[in-house]
Amino acid sequence: MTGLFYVSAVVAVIACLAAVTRANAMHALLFLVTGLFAIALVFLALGAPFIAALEVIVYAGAIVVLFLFALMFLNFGPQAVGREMQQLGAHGWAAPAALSAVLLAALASAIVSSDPRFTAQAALTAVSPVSIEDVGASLFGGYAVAVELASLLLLVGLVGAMWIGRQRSGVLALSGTSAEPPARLAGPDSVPVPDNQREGETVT
Amino acid sequence: MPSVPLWTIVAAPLLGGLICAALASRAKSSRVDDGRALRAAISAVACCAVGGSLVAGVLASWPLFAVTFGAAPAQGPAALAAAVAGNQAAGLLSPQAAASVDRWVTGMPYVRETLYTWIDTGGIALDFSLWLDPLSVLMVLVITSVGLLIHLYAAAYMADERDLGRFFCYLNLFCAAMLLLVLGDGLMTLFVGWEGVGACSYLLIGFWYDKPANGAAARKAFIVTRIGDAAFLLAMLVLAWNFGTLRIAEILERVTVVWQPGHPIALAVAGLLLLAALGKSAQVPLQIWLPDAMAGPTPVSALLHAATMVTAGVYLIARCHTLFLFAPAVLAMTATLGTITAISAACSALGQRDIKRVLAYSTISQIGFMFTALGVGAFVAAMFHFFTHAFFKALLFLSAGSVTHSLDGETDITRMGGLARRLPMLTMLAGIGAAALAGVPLVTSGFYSKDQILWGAYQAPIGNASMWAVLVLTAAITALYSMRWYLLVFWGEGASERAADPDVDVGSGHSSALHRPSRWLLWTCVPLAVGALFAGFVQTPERLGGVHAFEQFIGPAFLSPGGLTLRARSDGEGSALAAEAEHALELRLMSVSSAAVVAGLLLGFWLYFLNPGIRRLLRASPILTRLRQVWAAGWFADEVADAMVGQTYTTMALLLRSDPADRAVLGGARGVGWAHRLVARTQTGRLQTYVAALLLGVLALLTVWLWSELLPLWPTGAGG
Amino acid sequence: MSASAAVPLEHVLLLGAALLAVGAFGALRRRNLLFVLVSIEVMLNGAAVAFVGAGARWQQPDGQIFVLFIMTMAAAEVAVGLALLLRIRAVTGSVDTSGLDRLRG
Repeated sequence: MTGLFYVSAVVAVIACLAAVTRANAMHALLFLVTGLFAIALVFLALGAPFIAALEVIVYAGAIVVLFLFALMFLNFGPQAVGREMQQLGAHGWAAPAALSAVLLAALASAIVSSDPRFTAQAALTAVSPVSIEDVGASLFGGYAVAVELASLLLLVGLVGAMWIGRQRSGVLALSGTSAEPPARLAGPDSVPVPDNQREGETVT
Repeated sequence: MPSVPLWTIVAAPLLGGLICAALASRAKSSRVDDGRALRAAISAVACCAVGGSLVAGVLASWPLFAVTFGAAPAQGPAALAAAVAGNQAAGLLSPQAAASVDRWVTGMPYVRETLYTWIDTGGIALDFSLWLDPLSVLMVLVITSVGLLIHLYAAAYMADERDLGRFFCYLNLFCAAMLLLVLGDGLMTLFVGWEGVGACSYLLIGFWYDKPANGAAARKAFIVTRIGDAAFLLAMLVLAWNFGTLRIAEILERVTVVWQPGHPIALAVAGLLLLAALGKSAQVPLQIWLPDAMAGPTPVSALLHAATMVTAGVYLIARCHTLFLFAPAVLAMTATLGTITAISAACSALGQRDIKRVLAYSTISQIGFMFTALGVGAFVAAMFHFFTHAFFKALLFLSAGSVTHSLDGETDITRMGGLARRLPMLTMLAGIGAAALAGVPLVTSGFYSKDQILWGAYQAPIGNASMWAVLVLTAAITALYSMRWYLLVFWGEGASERAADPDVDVGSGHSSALHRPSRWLLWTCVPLAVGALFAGFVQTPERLGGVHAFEQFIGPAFLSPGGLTLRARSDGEGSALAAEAEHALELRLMSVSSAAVVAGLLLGFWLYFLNPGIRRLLRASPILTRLRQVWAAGWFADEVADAMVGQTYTTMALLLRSDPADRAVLGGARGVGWAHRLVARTQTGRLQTYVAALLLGVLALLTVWLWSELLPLWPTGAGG
Repeated sequence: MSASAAVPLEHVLLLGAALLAVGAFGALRRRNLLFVLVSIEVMLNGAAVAFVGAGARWQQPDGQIFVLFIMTMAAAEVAVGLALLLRIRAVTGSVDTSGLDRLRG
């Protein structure tokens, strides 16, 4: 299982990296599914088959399908890929990459630092599986209230998404499919923005 | 003898004032002819109110007279029993009247009447109560009797005034406030009267408010005296803080127990009270309001100068005498300021040309005498002078009013003259007043009271020969300006006859348009003239009859609970020989002062009657001209006050016009706005910025955490 | 199952950190809201990996349970987020975040 972990980990990182950097949204989502499957395998390797299954069902299944539905509604044409390509051009990479790298370095140094709380025992005592029975027992035991709250959260999310996403006729829905970028809400209160404040944000 | 509650003394003029106020608007709005009956009713109500107050005052103070004079020889603790015994002998004075009188710790008789509990909160309880002791009796009787005469005079003098109801309302309230002032048992009650007097004086000085100058004079009087009022409030605060009470009698008792003479708090309190008295009594340096207060109707001036308002300061110091005895420095300052006021105001009176302004400065000067007496501890002399001064000053003002009245509003004394032949009775009355003011020896009351003050200034420990000399000089100047005033107004040629005289600026004669003052106006002055002549005989020097009725009556009011006194020099000897020597000295000093007065009178007579031409020669002298200008301007006190206070205020206002404090506040606001813009710049509205900020925060936390592992900046719970 | 004992905890945590960094990078780099949401999912998965690893290390079920809650939260978040995405697209005609700066200070 050790090998499974390392292979899956490498696949997960690469697939996720691809998912966040692809220009084509459909490709990106497929990479995301790949990454999620790899992460499910990682969970399996860490002795958490229940979570691994949920990862596949909920994440790779439900959530990604949700993304796909959204993509369908958005109806990105071929020019959308071109626009993304244009945005992902040569520049604009350095700052996010540097920040992420520093974050990773900080986390890694925290993980592998000389602190005995991490190294001394972590190196000796590796991970080992936790039984599904234990998970289920505490899920419906000590965490019962939290589970109820989670279900409530889901309900609220459902209702909220429904309310936000419904198609409304009126002032706000002014240009659903227009290729022209109105870019901001029209209205008497909208403040015209000087051009110099929007430099580098080409939205054509 | 029915016993009369004290509150009726105050309530009578108060009620009268309210009735007048109720009738005022109707009297004003009705036509002249229709309103005549109503105005007569108003006058009658006002006069009856003060008259009722006088009656109530006499009845209420009768027991005190009974105690004092019914038991004439008795002194000390046995006085009460002796008084009762003496009453039966006297027959007139009933025993039960005397029995209603209490005795203070010094043996002074008093009557106290608590009307209701005014304030009872926290550490302080104030009763609204009245207190009648010999000092209050003197004040009450003078205020009501002189006040009544002035009311009667005003009823005729102001008969043509359209707004008569308002006038008599103010006048009655003025009396009521002053009576409350002198009857107040506690400083707080006294203060109510004190403020009432101030407010009424404001209203009365500005009675003819449609002239801006009158309003200005009223405001000036109010504001200048307000300086003193503020000091009074502070003094009350200090006393309440220290003693937990504002009852004067209680404070004076406690003072003798708690403090030693010269105690700093005693000095502070006495100083503040002195400042209050200076403001109310128009003494240097707060004297500037009184000459301008002439803007009011003449009866108001008479009332203000003779009976109410300006004597309130004298009364305040006299009332708190023990407190002042514990502050010798303040007493010395009182005497010094009084002397300065006396001589400077006398000089100023010499330079005035307005008939009433001369009298105004003479009031300031005479009250300066009283302050000097208070300062040297001669409290009885001060009150005696107040007593006589009330008569002759009221007489002088009412005479001046009659003169102005008959001359159709003319007030310049250099344009008067020759009235003696036309108005002999008025001339005689004014002559009596002027003689009393000058202190003509032996025959006038002013002589006896002024002599008491001079004697006190000479022999009291605080006083000295130089102070005495200054006062004698002042007395001479007083005689001179009294003579000048009297002769210029009543004698000499009339203005029309002097038209050719280059001394006189304008030669428009008034002799043709002479309004004879009515009999009523003159006869109301007669009792005052009697008082001006004979009031002095209740207290005469040892070698001139040795009557001590006044001192016998009012003296106990000035005994201090601890037996403290300033009369150190007369202590100890008590032998007949020393007393004899003292009396001889008194007589010698009296001769000197009398000679000074007579000299002043003769000089005035020579300058203004016998040889008026000499004045033209004197006018050629630049020094005298300059002096006359200085005196006419009252030593430029107005200008000095303006420079010190007015200009300072203006300068400050100019400095503050740009609002430095406001600027600081606005600067702070601008800084906040600037900081706001700085902080708002971080809110770009762009998602990536927020994500980056979030990650940077995580990084910062991680960094801190990692460093704390390496450098134990604070003890970690895990023991790492 | 004993073979899994060979995976040390710090490697699991490093994987979680790497996924977090990848997701953060995506959230920082992309302007398309859809990709921002995808990046957030990646970050959440990084946290989930760390939870599972820690739970397995100390033999506690809590780690897995928290992953469950993360999934719940992610589902709700994606639902609301995608609904917002559709609304934004309907209103502005774009899913680009750079135009959505009306709340700037």
